[in-house]
Amino acid sequence: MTILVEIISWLAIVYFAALNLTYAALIVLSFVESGHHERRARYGGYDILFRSPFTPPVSVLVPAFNEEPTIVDSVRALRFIEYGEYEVIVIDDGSTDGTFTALRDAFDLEDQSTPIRRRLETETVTGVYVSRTWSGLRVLRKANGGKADALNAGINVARFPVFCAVDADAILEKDALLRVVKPFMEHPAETVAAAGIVRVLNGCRVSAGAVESVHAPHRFLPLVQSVEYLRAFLAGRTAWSRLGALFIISGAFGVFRKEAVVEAGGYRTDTVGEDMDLVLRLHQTMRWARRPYRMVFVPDPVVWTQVPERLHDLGRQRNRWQRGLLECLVHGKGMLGNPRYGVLGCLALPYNWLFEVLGPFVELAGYLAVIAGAATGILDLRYLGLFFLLAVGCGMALSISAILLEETRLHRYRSPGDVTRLLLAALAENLGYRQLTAVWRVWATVDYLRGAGGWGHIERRRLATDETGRGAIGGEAAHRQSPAASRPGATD
Amino acid sequence: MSDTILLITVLVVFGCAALLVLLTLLTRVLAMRRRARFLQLEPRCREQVEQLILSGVRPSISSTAERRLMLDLLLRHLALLRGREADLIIGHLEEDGYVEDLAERLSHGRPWKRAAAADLLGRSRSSRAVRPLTAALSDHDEDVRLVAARSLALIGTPDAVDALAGALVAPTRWALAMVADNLVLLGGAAVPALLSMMRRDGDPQAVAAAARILGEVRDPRATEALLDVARLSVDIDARAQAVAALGKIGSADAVRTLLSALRDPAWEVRAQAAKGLGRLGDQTAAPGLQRAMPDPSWWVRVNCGEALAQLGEPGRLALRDVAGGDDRYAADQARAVLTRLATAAARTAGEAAARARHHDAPAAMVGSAGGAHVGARGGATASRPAARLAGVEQL
Repeated sequence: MTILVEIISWLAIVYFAALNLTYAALIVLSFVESGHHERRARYGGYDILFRSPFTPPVSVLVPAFNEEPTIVDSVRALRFIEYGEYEVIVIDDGSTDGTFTALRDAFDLEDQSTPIRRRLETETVTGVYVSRTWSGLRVLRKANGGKADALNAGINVARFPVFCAVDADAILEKDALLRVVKPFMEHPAETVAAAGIVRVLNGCRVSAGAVESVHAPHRFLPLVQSVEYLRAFLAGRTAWSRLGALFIISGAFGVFRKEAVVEAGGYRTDTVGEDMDLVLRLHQTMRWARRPYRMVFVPDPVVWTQVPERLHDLGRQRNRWQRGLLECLVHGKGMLGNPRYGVLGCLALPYNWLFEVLGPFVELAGYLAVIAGAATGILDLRYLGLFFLLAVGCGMALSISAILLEETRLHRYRSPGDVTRLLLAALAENLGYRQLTAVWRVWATVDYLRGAGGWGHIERRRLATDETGRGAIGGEAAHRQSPAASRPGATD
Repeated sequence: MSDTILLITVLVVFGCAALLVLLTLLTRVLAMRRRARFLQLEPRCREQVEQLILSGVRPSISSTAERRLMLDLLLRHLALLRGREADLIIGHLEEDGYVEDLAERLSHGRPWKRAAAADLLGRSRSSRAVRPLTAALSDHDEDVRLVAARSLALIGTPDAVDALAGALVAPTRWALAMVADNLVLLGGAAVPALLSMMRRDGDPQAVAAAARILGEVRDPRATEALLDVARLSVDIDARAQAVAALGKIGSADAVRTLLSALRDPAWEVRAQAAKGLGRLGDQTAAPGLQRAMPDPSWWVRVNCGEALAQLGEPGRLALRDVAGGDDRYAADQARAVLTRLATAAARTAGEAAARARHHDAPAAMVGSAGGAHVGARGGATASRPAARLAGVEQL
């Protein structure tokens, strides 16, 4: 029995050491890479990008399902983004509320009978409408087929060689498109996709569909998620992008070369992790064709999104993300450990299996061991206590590093109070919240194995200006099927 | 692992976490101090800059921070000034050693420091900056080269043009955008250098880029060279860019070349030719575009349809023929364009009728129902030519 306990202890130590050393390496790499990016961005020449004829025109695709409360504000905000040539295509994915009517009234839509180039199979498109007041806006009406299907329909009608997928309830910063497209200018032949950062909108002051001032949320749940998003995007994706193994581009904001996506077969409609799935299939397509390619994460183009404020909604969201991750990893199992896929196959995917899928199980097993050990007296409680403290300390160090990264490179939070709150959340999240997410993820794995699924409903609120600057997301609540998969993904 | 080692590890980890918290707070405190220092120094420096501009009094600087802030303020003011005031600032930048300091920084080990120096030198508009900036055009870092090229274009020296045109062989689209922007900034002065580059049997990518920039500059001197590239180049991108540029500049020869480019083996060239013909609006191109409409490429069909829509009545007739033709893809496209034209025309007619009704309202009130009837009919009649025009303008 003692030998068994010894072996399990050592396995746990090795696993724990590997996990934290990997995170530490990713953080260091992120610091180096984001510093390099920040210095180059100072003389980035975005004004030149804005007016240059060499800047590729972009089709902005906005899938919408029952978005009546927010859709008009979101589309209006897209009209004023800083970009040379772009079109906005809203895909009404069979909404049952007044989404289309709101758009028709606000933008004076008229039916435009036009042949659609069906390069990707989708549900039936019932109409293409063009705005009389803004020639750059088209609205597609189609039978409900889910977010992936809506995006595929958008790709079919997109006129430009590069498209940007944005969630209907997300707020794109004015210069975000300009910044995220730059890799397509720097490496035009190789770049097939680029991602920007998704940040938490809760707590920010919003005016006329744009973020007026940035604040960390005051409520605990959104605050903790702010830290999670910083950790996942700034510390995680920056590093994976540097290694050439970016395995997810958030569904809330990603830019893709249309031809590459069509060649990869478009978005898959039978998964809840369509964003990660597409990225993995792009890797597959390019590697099989032996073509040089790049998929990059750019840390400064920002899209703002609301995060769940209720525990129940958050649980459902995390359940969906974990199932999406599992679906994608299982679907791409041929890439695991395959040297053909380089760092992605040999490092990024094993990392996901070991730490993102297995991690919650190991963590929960550890807590159970502590309880069992305490009850039976087999394990040394002092030793376990120290081990728990070590795990908490490592988690805190990782989250604080992400906040330091934000503070030194991007400086979005202007008030010292915001930084202090984020730091406190980084300390507090390891005591309760982290354990809860581990339970949700284990449960999601069980759901996945049982074949249970679906998108679920998440309560979000209408964007409204806040006079006080506190909890600026307020107003009328709207239940809807969430198309937002703005998952932070790995390195959680 | 013994308890002691574990305890030490825990302490080290918590120590690291505490250090990270301190670093985060320290970063914030330093940023706030920098801001406070800036707010403290800014009024004095601004006053000195204003004195320099108004009465030529040289500013006196006591610290490095002040000198940095002064440089920033001087360059900001310089960007808005011309004539004597600008000369005063440029003279001060040269005499007080700012330009020399920045030129020295062009040999700094860090590329971003060199790029920043090149940027500031360009904004100084000093002729003393030309030599170091020209040397920076051969820097091993692409960003430094591009910023130096931009700075030379800002100073506007003739020597910069050749150097910039030479930079068109740069491999990335980003570099092309930067260089192209500089050349467009130089305007007509850049045309001879671009033409000589196109005539040289050089890199097809550079020829394509030069053709694209010439299309942006829209200088008629480029027509002949562009015609040559459009007819003779073996590179698809070069031909497509030349055809696109001809579609922007236009001439009788250009229309002929664009019509023959509709039969080019590459769809990219055919699509650009159709787009150009629509933009030029020469109605004699309608039969050629009609023949090109049943093209196997989607984009060629789309552009032909759009181009025909821009050619007035001959274009519309051609579209009707295609809509009733055998090729179902071309017919679909033609029908879509015709429907849109009809919708736009009907809308304009409706608006014109509404305007006419509004205009005739007093007559209708004073007279009989016949007055209103005449008013409405008159409005509808008057709207027909307007509808045709609006149908074209809509596209």
